[in-house]
Order: sequence, then C-alpha cells, then structure tokens
Amino acid sequence: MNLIGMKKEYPSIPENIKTMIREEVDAQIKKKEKKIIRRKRGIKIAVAVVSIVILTGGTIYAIKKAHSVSVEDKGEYAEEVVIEDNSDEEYVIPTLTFEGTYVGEGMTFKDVGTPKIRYGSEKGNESYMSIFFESIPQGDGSNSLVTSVENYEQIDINGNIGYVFYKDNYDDEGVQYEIIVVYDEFHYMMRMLVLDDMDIQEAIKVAEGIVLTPTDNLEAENIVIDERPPFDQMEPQQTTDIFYESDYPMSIPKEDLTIYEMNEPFVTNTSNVDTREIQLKVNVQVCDDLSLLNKDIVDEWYSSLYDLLGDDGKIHNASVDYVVLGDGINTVNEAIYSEKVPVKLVYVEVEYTNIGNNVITNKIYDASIHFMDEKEDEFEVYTGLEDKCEKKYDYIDTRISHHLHSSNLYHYNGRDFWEKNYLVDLQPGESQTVQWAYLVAEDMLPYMYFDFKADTFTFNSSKYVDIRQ
Amino acid sequence: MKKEELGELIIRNENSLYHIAKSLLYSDEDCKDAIQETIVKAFTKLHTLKKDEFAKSWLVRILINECYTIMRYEKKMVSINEMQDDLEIEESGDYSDLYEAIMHLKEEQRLCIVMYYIEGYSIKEIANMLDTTESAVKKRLVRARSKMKLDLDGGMAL
Repeated sequence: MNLIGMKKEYPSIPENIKTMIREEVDAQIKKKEKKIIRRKRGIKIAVAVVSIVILTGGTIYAIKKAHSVSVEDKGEYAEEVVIEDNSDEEYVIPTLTFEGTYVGEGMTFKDVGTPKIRYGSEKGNESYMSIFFESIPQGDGSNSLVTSVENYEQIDINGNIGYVFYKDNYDDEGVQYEIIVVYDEFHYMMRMLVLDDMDIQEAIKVAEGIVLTPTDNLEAENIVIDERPPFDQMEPQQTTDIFYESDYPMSIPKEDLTIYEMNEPFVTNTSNVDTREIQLKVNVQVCDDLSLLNKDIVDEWYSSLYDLLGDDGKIHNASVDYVVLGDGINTVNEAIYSEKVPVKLVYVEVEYTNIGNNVITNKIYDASIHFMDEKEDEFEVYTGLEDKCEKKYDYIDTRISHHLHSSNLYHYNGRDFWEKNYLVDLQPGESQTVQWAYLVAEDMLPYMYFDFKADTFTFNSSKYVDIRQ
Repeated sequence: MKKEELGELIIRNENSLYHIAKSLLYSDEDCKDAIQETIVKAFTKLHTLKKDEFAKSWLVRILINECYTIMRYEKKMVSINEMQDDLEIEESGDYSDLYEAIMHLKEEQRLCIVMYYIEGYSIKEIANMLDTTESAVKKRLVRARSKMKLDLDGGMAL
C-alpha cells in the first residue's frame, strides 16, 4: 500500500450524513438573521467614559499600579512583554464587558465575544483587526512574545501603558502591527492584531476608544473572553528539512495512466461521480478575461473575480513571492525570489451524460487541473518552479494564489447555482454541462491535465484528460 | 461571505469534513453530530470570519473543536480498546487496515495524517488550523508514519 491508495482506503461519507448536511445548510440559509445595531460615538466621549470607569472602578480595583511592564529583546526579531505582579494584596480579576466607542470611517464591528473582538470593513469582508484580552494571574504575571518585530514604541492609552510593535512585512497572518495595552486596574492585558489594510493611527484611536467595565452579570452582553491569541508561541521552533523532500510520488509510468483527449467521451469511476453510468466529455478554452463565464452568475456569486481584472478588462499578472519562513525570533520570513507571472483563465466544460437506464440523483462531482510533464516513459508532476526558484522555500505568497494550484475559482452547472457541484437529477440519456474556471500561469498551460478529483497534487487518479494548450 | 457561499463551501467540502471528523470520532453518529453542530455554528458565527479565503480553514477549526467537545463532554474519546470493541460490535469489517492503523495513532497525529495525506492540506495550512507550528506538524507526521509502519504488516510505502 502506498500514498496513492490511502484516500481510497479511508471511509467514505455515508449517504445519511450527506443528506443531513444539505438539509442543515438549507435550513440555516433560510433562517432569518438577527440584526445587531452598534453604537458609534466620537473619541471625546470615549475618553470621558474611560475616566468615569476608572474613577468608579478605582475604589475597587485600582488603588495603585499592580503591575510593572517591560519589553525585553529575544533573539534578533522578537520582543517579550513581561508583566510583573507588584501587588501587595490579593486581587480579584473582574469580569469585564467591552465597548468599542471609536469606529473609524468605513469600519464596523464584526464580532464581540468568543474568542476575540474583531473590526472589519463596513462593506465587504476585509478584516482590519482582532483583539484578544488575557488576564494577568496574581503572582505569576504574564509573558507574551511578539515575533517578527522590526521596531516598537511605547504609547499611552488613556493612562494605561501600551506598546506598538511594527512587524515584518511577511508576517504569516498578515499582521502589520500589534498593540499591547496593560489595563492595570483590571489585571488584564489587551493584544490588538492590526492587519495590513489598517492605518496604525486609526488602530490607536480604536484602542483609545475601548471601554472596559467590571460587571457581576455573567450574562451581560459583550463580556470579555480571557484568551491568549491561538498562535502565541513562547518557544522558538526548530525547523527541519525532512519535509522539503516530497513524500509524494513525483512520477508515474505511462502505462499506469489512461489519458483521454478533449471531446473524447469516456466513463470513469475515479471521479467523485462514483458510477459507471456517467459518461464524461471535456472541452477547454483559454482566455485572458471573464467573457466566457456566465455574467449573471459572476455578478451574483463570484464578484471578487472582477478584482483579477486590470483597467483594460484583462486579467492582470500575478505577483509571486517565494518565501522562506523564519521562526520570528532569530529569523523572519524572507522573500528569496519574486516575480510577475502572466496568468490565463482556463475555462473547462464537462458534459456529464447518463448512459444507464436509471435516473441518477444527487451525485457530487469535483475536478481539478493536474500539471504533468510527459517524458518518454513516464509522467512527472510539473511544479513549474524549479527553474525559477532554485533555493528551498516554504510557501508562495501571491495575490492570485490559484495560478499554481489546481482548485477552481468558478463553477456552474448551467441550471441552478444552488445545485452546485451535484448532478441533482440526470435522466437516462440526458446530458448536463458543467462549467469550471481556473487561473493558470501562462507557462503552465502546456502541462495541464484535467483530473476528476479535487485538491490533488500527486497522482491520485489513473485517468486524466489531456487539456494541454 | 454570504450565507449561500458558506453553504456552497460546506457542501463542496462535505467529504473533507467527514474525513476529519472521522479521524477523531469513531462513531458515524458522533461524526454526524459534530458536523451538524459545525454547520449551525458556522452560520451563526459567519460574521466573525476574518477573510473569505480563510473560510475553509475556519470551518475545519470549528469542526475540530466540536469533535473535541464531543470527545470531552460525552466521554466518547476513542481508546484503542473501545475502538476494537466497537469494531466487533457494530462495524466490523467495514474499515480497512489502514483506517484502523490511523485510529491507533494519537489524536493529534491522526488529525495531521488525515489532513495531510487524505485531504491534501499543506503543512502550513494544518499548522494554522491546529493552532500549532509547521515544525510541530512535521514532527507529528513523522511520528505517525513511523507508528503506522510498525502497525501495518509488511510496512507501508509511506
């Protein structure tokens, strides 16, 4: 047994679970949304509220500074924020509610509560920042490591000690800045992760607008969750070369594969359409815009595809960085090679025909593009990378990430978008044509084979369609 | 992300969701519960999704949490002995040696093996979904493969 067979040996999803999933999804979509109204107030009001909270809360929680805060260098690129407990008396960590009184232009709350507080764009789905609160245990204090730091500065947030850490450009999570504020009187620290699209001054205003209020009501709205950011690591991680070498078969003898031509009808049981009663036929076109796609479907469901287009209406080149990961402490992520890659839209039509005598219902299908280099006796997996980036790298950072991957960015069965990748009802003799679209780097076009399995990057199938261009 | 898009994502990845649930929960009924709860939570918490491109990872993370919840609170964590009992009682012969070998691994190794080899996630993606480092994922995979080689007669060409 080898890796090729591994997926086949794993249990398949039972039909009753498939049915449940579809029914539950349907029920959830039909469910009415609860409207959440957020208040927007100015910064002056926010500061005043903070003052009141401090005064009223101070008699309980803040007689003097309970904690000292320092920042210590760790390695070349990390800073450790050390919070020490200076309190003489036992303290109680209160339950707090959160209110964000500053919401910048075009910004909105996205969520308050488990496990984090998030701000994002008012329209669209962009995230601007995530906020975590973590209590400072008595006696132990708190140590937090901020990795991949280029530089930092101390700030004052409404009388609370804070720091802004300016992060390396290639932070894995897209975090550009991290703001840490110690709320001494409440024995809490805040970590605000600010993403690429957010201005740091705006982020500081958000931090200044945060109002924390102690409460005894555990059912109160917007209770602060005590949780450290999930990625937080206190120990430098050792990297290993062991997985730089591929664990996957990178070549396969020609006789082990069956290759079909475009428009050549064939029957396969290697697809997710697991029946020998469906005949498939594949046709492919390549273009540099979205004109082959159904405009109504794109407008309704895939409007983000328009972001791929330049002013001339053509798909613009992809910027590609080959990044070596650092540990964030002694090394940072580094782009060792960058390039602009021309990409094309590969439009695939697959005709599914029921050649049996029975109605076929609810058969799921999926597909991907597999890149192979045809040699004399074998096919090799084609990555298209070796000549361009001779050094080892960990990941490719690109705005158009699909060009080196096989997953589709558009599919439509030509009937009802909600039927998705299901053959819902295919009568004997009936055909249904499904459309797929992929973004592929121009120089990868001569290596394309269509694979009726999704998300594959090794030889998981034995049957492919030659769609080389 | 719109609710309809989330629905599409879930349906397109239903096999993946099942495989991941099945790596932590032996019983299909538990898998079903975990997936159903995941769907409900995903729709309820859709507004918390950071970026659309993270949706699949986000969904898997919810699922893993749900599986752990079932394991923790319903005390249905699968021990080797329990698994063997279950095998004999209800689903004997339905699963391959390979699946049994996977189920003999520690749960964090099982997850990594299934996500890497069955679902095709990258080391980086797995690390993000499991809130751990790429280095840790690599180590889990190495250990899991070694254990599976020992467990399977004749060894696997892993």
